[in-house]
Amino acid sequence: MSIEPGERRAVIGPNGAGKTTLFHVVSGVLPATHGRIEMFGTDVTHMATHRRIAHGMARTFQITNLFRNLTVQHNIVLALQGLETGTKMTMFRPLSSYKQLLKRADQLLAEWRLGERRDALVTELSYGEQRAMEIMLAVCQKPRLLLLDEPTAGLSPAETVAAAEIIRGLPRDMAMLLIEHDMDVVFDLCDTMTVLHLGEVLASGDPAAVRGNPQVQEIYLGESLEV
Amino acid sequence: MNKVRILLGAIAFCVVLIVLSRALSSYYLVLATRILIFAIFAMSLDLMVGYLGLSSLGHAAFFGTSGYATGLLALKVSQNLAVDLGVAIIFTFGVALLFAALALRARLVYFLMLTLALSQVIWGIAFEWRALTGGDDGMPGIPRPTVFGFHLTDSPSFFLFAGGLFMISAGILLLIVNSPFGLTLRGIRDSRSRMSALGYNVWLHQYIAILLSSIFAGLAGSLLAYQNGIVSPTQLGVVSSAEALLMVILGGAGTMVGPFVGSIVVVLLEYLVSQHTERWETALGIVYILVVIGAPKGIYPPMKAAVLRLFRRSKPLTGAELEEVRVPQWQPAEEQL
Repeated sequence: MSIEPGERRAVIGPNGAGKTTLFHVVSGVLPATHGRIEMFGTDVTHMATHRRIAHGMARTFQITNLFRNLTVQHNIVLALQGLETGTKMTMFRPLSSYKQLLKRADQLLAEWRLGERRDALVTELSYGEQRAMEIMLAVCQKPRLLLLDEPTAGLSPAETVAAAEIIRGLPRDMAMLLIEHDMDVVFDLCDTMTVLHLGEVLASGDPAAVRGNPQVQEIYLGESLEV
Repeated sequence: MNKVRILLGAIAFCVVLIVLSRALSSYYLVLATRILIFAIFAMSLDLMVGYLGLSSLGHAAFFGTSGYATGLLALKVSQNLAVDLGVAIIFTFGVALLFAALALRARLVYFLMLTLALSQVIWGIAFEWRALTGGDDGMPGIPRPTVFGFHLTDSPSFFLFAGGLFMISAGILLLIVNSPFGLTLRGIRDSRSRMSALGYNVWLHQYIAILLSSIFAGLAGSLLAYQNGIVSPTQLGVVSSAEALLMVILGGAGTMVGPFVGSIVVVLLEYLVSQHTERWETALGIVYILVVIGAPKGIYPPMKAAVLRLFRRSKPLTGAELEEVRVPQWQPAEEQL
């Protein structure tokens, strides 16, 4: 499978097809048993996760994965200092003295309309706000490739629309792989679509064409799809 | 946490130390010194347990190794405090380089078991190597050090010496946990997978944190050797590790102040129990169970929350205060991918 810079590709398939596993292998959480992974020309197959991130990858998690015992602001600060070696290794300067860093965090929070929740613990946010923060943490570092794992899972219809707005508004030069079960979101946001079945690619290409593929309809889309 | 308040707090603490050094009898000064020494030990462990989320039952490995190293140096090599203390801590750091590398090969409860096993190996070496360490007879006769011309043989001066080192240790540890590195550790505690996904080399940060922790545990161990005048395998044993862990949990993991409170409670408890029975370990075990079931967050966070509410009334707590009074359970939850 290959995707172009700036391409927005959906990855769909029944449960157990291997979608999240694909993300784990691409991001380095699970080792690849065979094959290669190349990112913008660099072979990352044997690189540790944090080094792939440094090469411009970012991901969100299916189950919200925030820092539960920290404030909203500290969550963002951790994302911002993640790739700044000088800062994150500093032990003998208080964090409060990093005015620029803290200001950037506050600016980002304001942009995402979470400014007022800056000092709240993330566990106090609504589920929808937490899912938004999932995406926020990932895009903080301005990645070139973003892996979104079911960003709208568990969201109400209104929250889903808001999340789709956020994703649509992300930089157009950011390549995106989007695991989703909500077909409306997929057809709304994505240029191309890949269908996985039992760990293999079943069909790939223009969403409308893939939708029309009888094999795909049989294993996944079925009658729930309105044509 | 502005500078004026920190300075005032430090001065106030100094005053308290000086007053206590005059007011308490020799017997109670020994107890108070023991509290300060174990507070340093417990605070060093809190860096691992409360901030990094790595529970360890092997911290006495650093505590005892440094004690033995200090004892050997003071008895056989040199009377120079800087040499005895410095070399002992450096040696302990060397042990930590290996200890941490081995222990970090495991996660969660397996990490805990590895730390226990590794510290027992060190305990076994001290116990068996009678020629070097005196075995279970211990190594008696360790002379008190001389600092700036003062020979610290009496209780008040040694108490102040320990107090000074306590303040320096607490100051450095508080600086570390409030730095970007400290925030990184707390991030790792809350979600290793998230941290990797943000570009952090999780293993490296954990390794460095354990090394830092070993330095202060070593300092505490050296102080105990000086105070007692004798080192025995007990200082390396699992009961020492367990006492420190209890101080951290009972006081409140992840706060740095909690372990200090924990040290006061546990040392005094040990003193009280020893007046009536020899079964201190039994009592320790019972208290352990009660604390983990009844007050797993410790006693300091709820106390601080109550005090803050009293003085703040309607004004909301700051982010840092919220994080502190709602510190996590001492055992991190199993992570999901």
